[in-house]
Amino acid sequence: MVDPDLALVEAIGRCDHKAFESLVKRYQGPLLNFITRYIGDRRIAEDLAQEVFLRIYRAAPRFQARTKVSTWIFRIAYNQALTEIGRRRRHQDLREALCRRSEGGAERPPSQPAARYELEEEIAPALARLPDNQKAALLLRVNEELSYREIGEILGVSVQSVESLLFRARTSLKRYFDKT
Amino acid sequence: MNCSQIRRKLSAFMDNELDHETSSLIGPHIERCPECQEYFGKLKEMDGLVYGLPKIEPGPDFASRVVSAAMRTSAVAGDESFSFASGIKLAVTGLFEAIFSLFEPGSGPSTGALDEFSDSPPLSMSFIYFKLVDQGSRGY
Repeated sequence: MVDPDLALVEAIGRCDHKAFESLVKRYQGPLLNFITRYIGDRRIAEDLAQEVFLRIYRAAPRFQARTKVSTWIFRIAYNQALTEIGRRRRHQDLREALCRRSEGGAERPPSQPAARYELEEEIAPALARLPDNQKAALLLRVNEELSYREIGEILGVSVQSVESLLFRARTSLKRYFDKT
Repeated sequence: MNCSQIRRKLSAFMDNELDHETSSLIGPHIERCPECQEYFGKLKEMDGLVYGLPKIEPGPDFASRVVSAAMRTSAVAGDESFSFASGIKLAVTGLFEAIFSLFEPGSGPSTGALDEFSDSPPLSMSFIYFKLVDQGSRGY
């Protein structure tokens, strides 16, 4: 099956800015959603998402299609997010950032229905408590519907490890909500 | 497979990531075991909670900002490589011009500085030295 994004990346490698814009528009939503949910900070997530796209732009001429373009993109995003989390840990900001409500949840946006706000208030702390690799695996599986093989390529782990990560993430969430 | 073994596989079963043989054991078990059925339902509910989170959307100008940043990046990279290459080229050109002009006394820039040493024969050390000094002072 031909990767639908491969032609775009090849065009970007030839400095086709229209192709680059198309790729950005295709992935900006999923990327920003993943990074924001992963690091818990919308403002920084936008900067990271931009950095991911710039890295894609610079690396496009060297892309060799050994993996799907989507897997490649999310791998760069995951690495950027990990770097940010590591940086924040080193500055001992992480606990505050994870416990702090996300920017979208600190005050309910007037346009956001009450039910969705409450959902975010419920699930965000539970997600924040998950270990980084479990959280990443869960977000990639649930929101992006990636296969275990693709998730493994992004996280740099085996398929069996992905199965274990998802099992533990889901049971941890279940235990969290059973107590609350 | 007992219930404990079944439950450890429910997550992968939910994702259709199990081989056919294992899946064919789990499906019928869930149908007849209320506890495992409830456990399976809870796992699916957790996925539903995560999936139900509001999707974070970028601002309307995000794509254009990213493309502009990329174009600035490529312009800067182009300028930098041009400056580096052109600098190398200028240095090499200047070196060869200086060397070749040594063999053509009087055909290059003015040798006025050598008037005092006009009795220095071509290719003599004094001639070469003052030739280079003269060129250096003219910015060559």
